Amino acid sequence: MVIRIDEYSDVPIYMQIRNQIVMGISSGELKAGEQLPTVRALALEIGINTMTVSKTYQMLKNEGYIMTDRKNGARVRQMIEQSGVISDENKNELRRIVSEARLSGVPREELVKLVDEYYLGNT
Amino acid sequence: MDKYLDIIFVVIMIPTLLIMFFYEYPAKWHDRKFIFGVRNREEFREEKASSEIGKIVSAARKQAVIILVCSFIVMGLLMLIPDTLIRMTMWILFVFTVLVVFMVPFMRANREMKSLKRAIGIGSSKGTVYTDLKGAGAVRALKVSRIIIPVAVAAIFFIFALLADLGIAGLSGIAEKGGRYVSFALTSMTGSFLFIGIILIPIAIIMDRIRNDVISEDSDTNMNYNRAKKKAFADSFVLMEWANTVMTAVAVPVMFFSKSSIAMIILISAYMLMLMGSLIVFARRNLAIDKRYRKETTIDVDDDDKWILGSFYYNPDDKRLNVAKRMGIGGTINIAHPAGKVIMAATGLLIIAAVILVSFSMVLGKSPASIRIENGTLICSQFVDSFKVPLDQIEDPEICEDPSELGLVRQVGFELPPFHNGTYIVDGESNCKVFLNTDSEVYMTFKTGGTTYYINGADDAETKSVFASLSVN
Repeated sequence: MVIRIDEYSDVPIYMQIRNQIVMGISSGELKAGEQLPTVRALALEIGINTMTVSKTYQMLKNEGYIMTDRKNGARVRQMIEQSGVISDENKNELRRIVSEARLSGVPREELVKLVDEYYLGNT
Repeated sequence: MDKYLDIIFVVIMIPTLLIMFFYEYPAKWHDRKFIFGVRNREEFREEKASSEIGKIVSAARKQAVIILVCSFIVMGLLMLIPDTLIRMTMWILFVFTVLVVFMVPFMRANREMKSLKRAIGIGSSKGTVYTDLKGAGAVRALKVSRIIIPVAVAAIFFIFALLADLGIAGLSGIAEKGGRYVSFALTSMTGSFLFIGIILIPIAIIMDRIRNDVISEDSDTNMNYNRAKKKAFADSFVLMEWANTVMTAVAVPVMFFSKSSIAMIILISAYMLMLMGSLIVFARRNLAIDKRYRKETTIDVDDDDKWILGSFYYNPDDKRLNVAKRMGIGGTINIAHPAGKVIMAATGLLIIAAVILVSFSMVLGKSPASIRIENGTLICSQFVDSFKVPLDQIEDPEICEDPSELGLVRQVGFELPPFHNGTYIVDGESNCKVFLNTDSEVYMTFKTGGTTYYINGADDAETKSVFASLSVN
């Protein structure tokens, strides 16, 4: 899976990596049990500090997307806990996106179609 | 002997310049990954852009051909300079100059390519980094054992030569044939090749761990591309290591059984040709890989602006020190990295120091050597005072004839035959001080403490006159 880092984005780099790994797991690009690179290897590859990658992995681990151990490094979890609810933070983000789309004149159907596409993992 | 050095320079320079020409000034630019250090893009295939690039490529190639032909002519002229010292100095300065001048059309073309990019509206995707999670830290092509084995073999030859040099190991009668000279020269030579071999190990490992390129959304394509590139790198390093070891292994018997300098020159030329040959093979493989994967490239990261004149990488946002070169073959450093700044400054100073040293050697070599007695001290002087010996310390002065019969092996010092200046092994005795023109008819020798001196002046009259003064004192 290819991740794209924008060094001039307002979103911090650790969050950009986290978001793209989550999207990768959701779309199936990263399969259950798949090995992720080591903190050091990923930091070297992107050209960033190891602390940044470490922070990302810690966050993904706390959120239940990956598991880490000293022997095997980081892996995508076999079973990701499904709470069945959208967090308040994500609700606010979705509200912002929908609002912007409505203000931009995007038809509701178009937005729903896009949500369906992303939800079904077609992109 | 000195003419053979010209041959070595020619053997090195002609293939080097030809490799640079064919690699950096391609006639068919469509299949290249980079055109004069600017990433080749789909937009460049459009008719107008393509025609403009054709003009840039054609102009740069024309300039490069002119420089190439001129440098061949200069090489021919250099070989005609009768004075050895001036010729060698000119050769070294020529090598530095031609390598810089040969890059000028490339750098000009790089600027024109960047202007063209702006003209056709291609913006720079500043600060965008692509990374393939599958390939991160996982693509390695170099097995460290493959590169260590040849160095270990070279180390055996070095240890053998060193033990023989120190007199610890006997050579079953062979040592007597070559004598002390062979033993000392052999240790230096095998040690030099071992040193080169050891230096290549970290470079090979660094190049093997260089960041992977992301050329496609498909991880397998990225992995295969990077593996192919790194395999080409790794193979060329292993080949260079074995070339070093073979050179050492062949040179040992050659130096033991033949004192012929021609044999050594042939050996060094063959070694150089082998290195150049492997470089050509590597360059061709590299180009073939780029051509093969050109069709599968879907991600084009535009960091052309980070490459100053297409040759020097300066990217403060990139924390990496080493990156793959755009121009030519191999890797280079990120000058924005703190260590990169230090390496760049050290390299610059080293080049300046080399040019100064070469020029100083020429001045030194052209300065007349003389000896004189001043304020109770014997002074040997050539441009600067080399030795100062108080007269009251001089024991057993003696005047002798035919210095060319002395067996001289330099330990430290400046040597431009027939003149020798420094610390030498003389007829098997080490740490002797030598200030000697071996073409003169006479020389004097004396001792101070445990050190033996062998000196003569600008001419025989001067030597005899100083010796007479010494005898009186």
